[in-house]
Amino acid sequence: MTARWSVLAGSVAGGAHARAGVSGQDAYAVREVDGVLLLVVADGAGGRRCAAVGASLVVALATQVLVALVRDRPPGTAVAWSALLDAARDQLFRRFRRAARALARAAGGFRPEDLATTVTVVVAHPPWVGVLAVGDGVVVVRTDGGDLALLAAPPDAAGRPPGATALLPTARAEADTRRLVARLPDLTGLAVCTDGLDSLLVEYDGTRPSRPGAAAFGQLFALVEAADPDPTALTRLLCGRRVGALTDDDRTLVLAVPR
Amino acid sequence: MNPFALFEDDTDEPDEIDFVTDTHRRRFVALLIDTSRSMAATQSNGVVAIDALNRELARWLPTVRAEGRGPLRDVEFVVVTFGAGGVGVVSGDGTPSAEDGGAFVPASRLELAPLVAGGATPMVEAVELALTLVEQRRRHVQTVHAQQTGGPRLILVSDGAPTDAEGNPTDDWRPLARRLEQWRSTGRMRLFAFGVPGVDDEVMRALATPSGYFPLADLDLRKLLDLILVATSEHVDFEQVRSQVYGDEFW
Repeated sequence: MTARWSVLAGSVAGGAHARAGVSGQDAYAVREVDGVLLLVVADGAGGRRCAAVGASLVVALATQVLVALVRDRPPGTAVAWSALLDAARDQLFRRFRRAARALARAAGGFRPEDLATTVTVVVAHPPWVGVLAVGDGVVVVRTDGGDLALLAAPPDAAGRPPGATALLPTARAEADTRRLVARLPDLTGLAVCTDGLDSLLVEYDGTRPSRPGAAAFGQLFALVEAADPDPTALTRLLCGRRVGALTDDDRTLVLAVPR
Repeated sequence: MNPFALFEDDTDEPDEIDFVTDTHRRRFVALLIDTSRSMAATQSNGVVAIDALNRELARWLPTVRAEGRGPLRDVEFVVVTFGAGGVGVVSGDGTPSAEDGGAFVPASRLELAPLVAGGATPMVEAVELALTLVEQRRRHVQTVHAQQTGGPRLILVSDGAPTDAEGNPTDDWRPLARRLEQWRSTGRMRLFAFGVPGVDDEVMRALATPSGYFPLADLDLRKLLDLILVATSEHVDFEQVRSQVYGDEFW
């Protein structure tokens, strides 16, 4: 079947990891199943011993769970989408925790918590967009006219311990998961990123995230909409000097536009 | 080699992207330096340790300031010494104030006068002061400036064992270790401790946990300051610093 989406993705280790000679702790996956687009991005928790493994694991499991759920018949109502995302959340939590315990037992020397990771899942089947997020991943949608909105915003920094965010496997399935369903008939673009890029791509009003950076997203979406998109463009951008000067964190960005 | 220069050869970037550049998540790094009388001793190479430290600091500070205009642009330092004159703030205006213009200075403006060695090792009092200051600064930035803040970081350097102000050994580090553990358990700060020969390993491990403590084989001040710069970076964790200290053979 012809793909209905154009996608560009890039994931680059932050300067700190590069200097230490270790790989990044982000992971991502992109799948298209019968016109349903699935984007999964994860950010392994800094300082945890096996965070990169945790990020890869949660991306693999989320992909497996969501592909199975949407394959037969994507939902057609908000209620059905909510039910699908709830089912995905419950399966993902259960499978990740089970896998983390099994890995810890088999490998020894670490605990399931050492696989700590965020995860952000976007499922799009226009006009519907569903988001499931544990932690501080960011989702931006673009609609006709180039209007941008934060579908999943970074958390407000006020009143919470610096750097703290919900992480699998310790997060509470219902209380710590953001689940959003939006009906966007004029959807023209989707973006998902890890928190390493939120300060470059999101405008803040003090501690509160207010809106996506219009200029940046306009130019980023143009990369995907180019007549002959360069598949390395995003990776080169994320590796580049300008981004390196603005963030030291691992950074992952996935951009998608309907064809 | 400047460890922050890895991206400087990268010229093949796509078209300019107008990133949001006015968002800051300020981070606070407290550097605690032992300036007790042992630092006035002469090293095997005939150089007094504090003189060597001052010389290396003079080399190091321009690097910090340069990184303060790049990767460390969101970092504010407070530098606390413990030794000659007791516990004192030697950064900013030299006062223990978390207000703007007080003890904290952006990395791009970090300057230090030559340090003086002498006296006892009131390490516990110094760590307590640093904890108080970073917490006050975090609240100030969040409430007064309504800005995001990242996790504060304490970097402790010592070559001795904690004493009270008169130089008597003290067990006050035990309750401090418990307090630090509480801070760690709620994600409120991270402590990196570097021990140079002569340090009390038991105390440093208790304060920083075995993961966060890095005993050094010799008083290589240049290496020490480079490690401090690495430990200042936001997304460096203990294992990465350990790899820098001991090399890959550690694994």
